[in-house]
Amino acid sequence: MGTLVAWHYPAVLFAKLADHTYVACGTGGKAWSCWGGKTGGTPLRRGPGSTLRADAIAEPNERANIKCYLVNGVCHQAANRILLPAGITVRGAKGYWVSEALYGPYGRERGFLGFCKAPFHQHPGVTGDLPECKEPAAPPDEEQAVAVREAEEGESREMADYLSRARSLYREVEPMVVAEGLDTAEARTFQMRLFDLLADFRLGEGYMTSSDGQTAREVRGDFEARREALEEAFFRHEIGVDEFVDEYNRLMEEYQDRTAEVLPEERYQALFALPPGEPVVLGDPEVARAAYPDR
Amino acid sequence: MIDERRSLPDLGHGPRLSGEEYDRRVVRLHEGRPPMPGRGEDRELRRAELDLAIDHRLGRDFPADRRERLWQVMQDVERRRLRLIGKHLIGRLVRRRRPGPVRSAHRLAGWMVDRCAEVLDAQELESFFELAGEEPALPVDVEPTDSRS
Repeated sequence: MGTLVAWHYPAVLFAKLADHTYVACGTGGKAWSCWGGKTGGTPLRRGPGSTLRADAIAEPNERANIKCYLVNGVCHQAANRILLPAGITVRGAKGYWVSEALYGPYGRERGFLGFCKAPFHQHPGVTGDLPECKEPAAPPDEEQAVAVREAEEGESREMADYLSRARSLYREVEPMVVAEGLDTAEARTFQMRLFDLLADFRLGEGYMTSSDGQTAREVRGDFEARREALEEAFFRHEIGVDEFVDEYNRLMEEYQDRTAEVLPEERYQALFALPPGEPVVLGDPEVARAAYPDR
Repeated sequence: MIDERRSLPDLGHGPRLSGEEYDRRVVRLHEGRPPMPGRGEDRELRRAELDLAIDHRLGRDFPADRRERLWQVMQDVERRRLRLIGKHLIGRLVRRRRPGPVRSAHRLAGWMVDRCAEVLDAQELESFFELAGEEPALPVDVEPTDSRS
């Protein structure tokens, strides 16, 4: 399936107080003007969707049947119509919430006395992609993708086996996640099984039954419990994004320090591919703010 | 992909719908609808759109009585929007090289924000329309032409 990309740039009139938006496919082979320009600017958002359907919605004049500009809607509503197959909107473009309040997300269909009618033809039966928007075919399934990556990156057969087993674990819990999500105990069990798999791969099967291995496993279990509590506090809105990221990074550092205390240096290095004393933190406040813009 | 970074202030109306969840619900609301909704369906749709925008921009616990007052404002806005059709037709007759009733639409946008300011305080108004201290504006990118619609 192709990709639809929403683009925006400051519109020409009115001191550039609002953004013009238009849509292009992910390859750049086709763009729809939405009553304005269709080159330049900055990508705003993208999502997978049928580019053939988007093209049908856009209609040959690329205005998505926003018939009377500023009456039925503006470029934002035209772009949203074309983006429907990707399930995204151009929210975030400057002036969007003014136009959304005035015309709704997909424009106002109703006219008056037969003038300015702007029906939204969604073309639900249209699927597939425009030739110029077709993206390189992905491998048919994840197993094959793993194999391709392995070949490309020169990874060992052990790595491929580890990834395959990890995939099996994910497949095992997928129906539960889709049905009603994992509860805390199930989620922790899943995380620990993943950890056991990684430890077997990196440290050798059987090491985790040793005294050091068992202690390292307890440290990991403690980390998981504290991480869950932190995530729950975040999702209950008890803490903000920055506090969540700071605390998460602190937990990560503490986990690595404690693991370094219980594992011999060479085991630690084998497990994390890093020497002890060089803790890695993963939480980036900027990325977290982008992921949770309303927090 | 740049727009998700600004966090909104807490307005005391409970958690907000995330942007992604807003998109999902808006798409779900519209997907599969007939191209031209009837008058009653159009009204229901506009009300549902307003509630989603409030849930995303102001908070899911925004009081019902103030939602109702905003809905009344939006009903008035819709009536005035239909008047723009006349301006549009006049513009076409005199072949003004504009894409549509630019000044009238901007006046309507300003009027809408002023009316909403009777229901929302300054911080809520800023959050609802994302004005960043600027005048409300609609995008007009097209250069003058005489062949629109």
